[in-house]
Amino acid sequence: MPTQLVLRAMLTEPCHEMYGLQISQAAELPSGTIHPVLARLEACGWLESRWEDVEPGKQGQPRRRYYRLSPDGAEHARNALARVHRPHPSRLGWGITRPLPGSAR
Amino acid sequence: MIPGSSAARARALSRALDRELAQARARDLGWELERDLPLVLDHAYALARALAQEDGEDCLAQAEELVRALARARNLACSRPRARNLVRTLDRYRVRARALERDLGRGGVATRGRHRGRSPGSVDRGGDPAAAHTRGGSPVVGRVAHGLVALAVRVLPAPARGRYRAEFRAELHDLGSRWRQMTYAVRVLSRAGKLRRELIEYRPRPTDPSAPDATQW
Repeated sequence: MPTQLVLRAMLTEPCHEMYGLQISQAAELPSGTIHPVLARLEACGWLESRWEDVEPGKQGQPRRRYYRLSPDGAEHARNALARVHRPHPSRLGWGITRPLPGSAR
Repeated sequence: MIPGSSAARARALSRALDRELAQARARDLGWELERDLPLVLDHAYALARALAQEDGEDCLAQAEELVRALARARNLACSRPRARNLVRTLDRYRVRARALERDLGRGGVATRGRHRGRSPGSVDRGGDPAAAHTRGGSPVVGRVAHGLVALAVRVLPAPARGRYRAEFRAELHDLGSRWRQMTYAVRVLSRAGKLRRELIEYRPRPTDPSAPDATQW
């Protein structure tokens, strides 16, 4: 899922700021597809963003928007991804289920 | 050569239009004007950007679009009894934009005939990164890609437009080739509805431990 890929990419260097194209590259997602994900994560408080500081020599260039995980967001992201990797015991994935031990058949 | 003062004049025009738009919104002049005035502003910013990047090919076209958009907005404002001041202001800006357009034409920055004769599809140069770099090596934001991104921004809720307009344009600027810019713009446009929903449904709020589970996304 795109959100999981974005979170994984951001968690590789939680303190490092990245702009949209860098995030999509790190998450191996097509450019231009991640803004809805970033908007949701930012609204939840998992991500923080800011405008790039304009260097004197680069006045004419448009400023990038940089994102990084908030301290709480990094923690929540780790927990969320851990939950993804620890599926419910009754579910093997893709709708294939097996009976729980001890359950009557 | 782009006339020296043109970029500064275009920027001043953009700022003035921005202020006017904010006032027009406060006066609640109706949805048609709400729709058309941002278009005016988009063209003004596009013109300022083209001038800043010395993208001669784009400058005159953007100036012409700006004059047309100002005329449309002015005609709409004429039908509003409460928009008398806005009509006067738009007239004033139209004069400034026309003067700018005239100067750009005289300065020979744009090859009018070449621009007019070009179909939108021919903007793409087949993904050749070198072809996308013109004067001074700055990447040129293709007109079509620029237009698609502007369209995507218009889909978003009004308070978020400025931010995403700047963000998308910065990313367009970073993509070297026009082919990549077009691909990016199409993707942004195709996801604009989803982004709109996210912006409306998920208002900014403090970090919430019980925020939606990532597995659900």
